[in-house]
Amino acid sequence: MKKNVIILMIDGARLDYTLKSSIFNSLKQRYVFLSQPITYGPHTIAAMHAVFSGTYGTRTGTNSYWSTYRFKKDKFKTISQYLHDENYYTMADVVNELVIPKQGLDEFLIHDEMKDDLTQRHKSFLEQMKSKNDQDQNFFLYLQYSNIHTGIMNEVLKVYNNFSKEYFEDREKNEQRYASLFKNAEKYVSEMLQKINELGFLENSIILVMSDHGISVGEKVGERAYGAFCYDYTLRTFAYFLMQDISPIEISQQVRTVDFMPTILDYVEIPIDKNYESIDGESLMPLIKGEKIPEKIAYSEAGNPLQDTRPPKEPNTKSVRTSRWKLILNEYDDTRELYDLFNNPSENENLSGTGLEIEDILFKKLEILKAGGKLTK
Amino acid sequence: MEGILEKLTKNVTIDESEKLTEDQEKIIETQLKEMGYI
Repeated sequence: MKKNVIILMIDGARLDYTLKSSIFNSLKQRYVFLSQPITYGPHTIAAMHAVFSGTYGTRTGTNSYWSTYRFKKDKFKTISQYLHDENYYTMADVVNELVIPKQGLDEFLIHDEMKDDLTQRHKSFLEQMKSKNDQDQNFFLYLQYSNIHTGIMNEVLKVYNNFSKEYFEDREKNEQRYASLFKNAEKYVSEMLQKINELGFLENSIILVMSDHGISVGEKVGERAYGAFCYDYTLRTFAYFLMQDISPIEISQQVRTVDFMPTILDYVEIPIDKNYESIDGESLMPLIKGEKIPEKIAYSEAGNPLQDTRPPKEPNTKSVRTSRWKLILNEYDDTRELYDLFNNPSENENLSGTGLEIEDILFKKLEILKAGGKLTK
Repeated sequence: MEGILEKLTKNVTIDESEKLTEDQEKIIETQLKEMGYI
């Protein structure tokens, strides 16, 4: 039998909080930890369509809150479809209709984030999958933990706007709120992993614990949560790959969340289907096995609503990033921002227009990627 | 257990040249509202 695939997606979990967490740090010591994955979209819909297809939304069609139904199903094959075609039982439990592509799923479940106990609910799905396994069927289980979002929705999105003074002036309160929500997420991860262990899935599965994007705690006026800007507090995420036959390793090199799908397929030995369009992601298995591979430019885009209450239909804020540099293009007013991430990780000293050669280099790459092109080496 | 179960038997997205159906437009509006995004 092949390995099963389990994804625990902790919606809105921030990298910096995982680094301070004893639960996440215990994972880091035992498994593969990636500390610099960059999301394509700093909001769930665009982020997870990119993860499921291994491809940026510039090419798949899902590039905004409004474009789930524009996913080009005939051109891009999802991880669910790949696994379904290999006779995996495929199941997802998510917060709403729009957040992932449905293609290839045997069961698409929607939970009520206000009412359901996600830990109990998701544990019961693991038990269901155990019975599939006992009948010699592999499974793919995608579980979205949405309760960080629930708290942010109730206490931030519905209370403040992107310019509310009282929100941005009380960073301490924002951090306390987030810390409390994150603590519940830690508990969820801990209990889920315990159940996964009890059911023997650590031995016969690949388990990915990841986040789709971070969330603001008041860093930049104009974005009270996520989805508007391309700064690292939402773009930079984390991932833990739990693979029993792979030695623990921390990978600090920049990778992209579009690389996760080809990595999983590579691990379970399913080749990329040439009948579909090529994907943007690349397998990280060489890196995970300790080999060196060149760092790839990461492309991201967001929709800044500006003074509007609704996000725009198309992205208007785009960025390219290396471990060292980030170039942001604000298309709504044709301005650029260039940051030296080594020396200015909080991205508040804009070096655009200061004559640095890297700006032109990155701008050319951004022009190609935002048009749906691919970079040559 | 609460929640909705949907058995999927058909593709759910539109072709590139097509317009969204009224139902799809409605679902997007409703769900984005419920999620606190609009």
